[in-house]
Amino acid sequence: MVRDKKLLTDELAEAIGGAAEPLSASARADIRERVMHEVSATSRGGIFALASHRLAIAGTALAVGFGGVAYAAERSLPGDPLYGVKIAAENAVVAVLPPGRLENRVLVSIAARRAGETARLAREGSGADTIDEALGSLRDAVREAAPDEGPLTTDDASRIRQRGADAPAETRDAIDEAVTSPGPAEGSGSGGGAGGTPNPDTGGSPQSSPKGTPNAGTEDSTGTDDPDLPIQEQIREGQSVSPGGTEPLEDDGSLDMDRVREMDDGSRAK
Amino acid sequence: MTERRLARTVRRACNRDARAFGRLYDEYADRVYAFVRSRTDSAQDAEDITATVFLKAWEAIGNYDDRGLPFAAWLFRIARNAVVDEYRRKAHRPVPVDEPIETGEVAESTDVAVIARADAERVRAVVRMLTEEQASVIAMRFWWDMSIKDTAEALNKNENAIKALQHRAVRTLARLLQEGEDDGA
Repeated sequence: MVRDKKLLTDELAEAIGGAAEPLSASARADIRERVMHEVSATSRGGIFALASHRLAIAGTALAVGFGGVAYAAERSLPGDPLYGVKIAAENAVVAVLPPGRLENRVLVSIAARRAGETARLAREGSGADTIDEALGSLRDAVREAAPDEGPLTTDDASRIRQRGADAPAETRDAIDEAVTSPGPAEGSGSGGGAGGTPNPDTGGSPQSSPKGTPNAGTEDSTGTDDPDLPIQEQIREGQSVSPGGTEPLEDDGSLDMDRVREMDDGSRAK
Repeated sequence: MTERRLARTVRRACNRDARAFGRLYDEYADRVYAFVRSRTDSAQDAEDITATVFLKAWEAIGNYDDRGLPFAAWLFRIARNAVVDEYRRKAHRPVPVDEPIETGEVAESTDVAVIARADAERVRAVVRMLTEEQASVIAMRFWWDMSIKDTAEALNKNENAIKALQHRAVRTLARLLQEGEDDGA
């Protein structure tokens, strides 16, 4: 009898469930844009990114003389004063990306950045703790970049690894390991609570600023061994400062916003 | 989205992580819209209210405690309140109140059969005629896939009350659909 009830409930679920009024893809995207515009402006990263961007714009003229705040930020490493600008800029971009291929590519590029930062820290002789933290950020970023259904594709994994290829052997191995087995997603066990962003779990102690940075990992990975480009400018002005190319993301992890828009339009058109 | 991933995403959104919140939007937009649309007259209104729901959720998510109300129940409450606010604002439609409806234990299989053979558009039209609580239960149970327990938490009722509400909602739904059939609709 209980079974009958269950059967009836299933049938009911099917009959009524199928009657939910669908939200059209275009309305869905429009609402998302409306919501996320507000959300990213008031998010943890957004406020910072906006402020820093204003700074970057105001400083554009001065940038020539001073070398560019944004440019410096893009090259910053964990612990550098401008490191937060770099991460906030990444967050601002990622926040407004619709799910899908474009988002995946951006996330993979961000993970590659983290690998590059880790390698650079190691090359510059940073301490073990700093490198561990950077590895933790890399794991976070790898988990973020992995699709819901499973691990990274081989191509994506090798692309991330490649950015850490010039690290000293020991760190390179650790980077490979982090990319291959980033560890349990949220496991970071401890701290649930009001929780901060779960951090690296694995060996890693929770970062100094656990709640901090959304998505791409802790705010404590930085730097790039490449001449990264002022990401804020690209985000806000929609200009690509990066050399051409067919990918939305340059090898150094910077974003070509023209390309991003193109891909975004393309995926919406579907 | 798996439960683990959802929990992680919610935690991040609580920390004002915009991307995580975007994920939640992607996960729940359809459900919020389906419910809101069932309580509004036009698709445009429903879209506006859906946007409002997520903006309100973003405003409040910093105070959300994942050890309390399940996230879906929490979000549903916001959606429900937004709908009620809209009713009040427009004041062109009274806020439906629960009216006593016969609760006799009539064969549910008959009801299910009536509902199953109705087309989606007709079912939606009839859901709009349900009381606010009944429609909420229908939305949560069948469109949001929420358990009786979570539904009870969202509506601040006990589980038996939800079962009774669901029963009444389904009965009413079937009765109205049947009447439509009889009228040749």
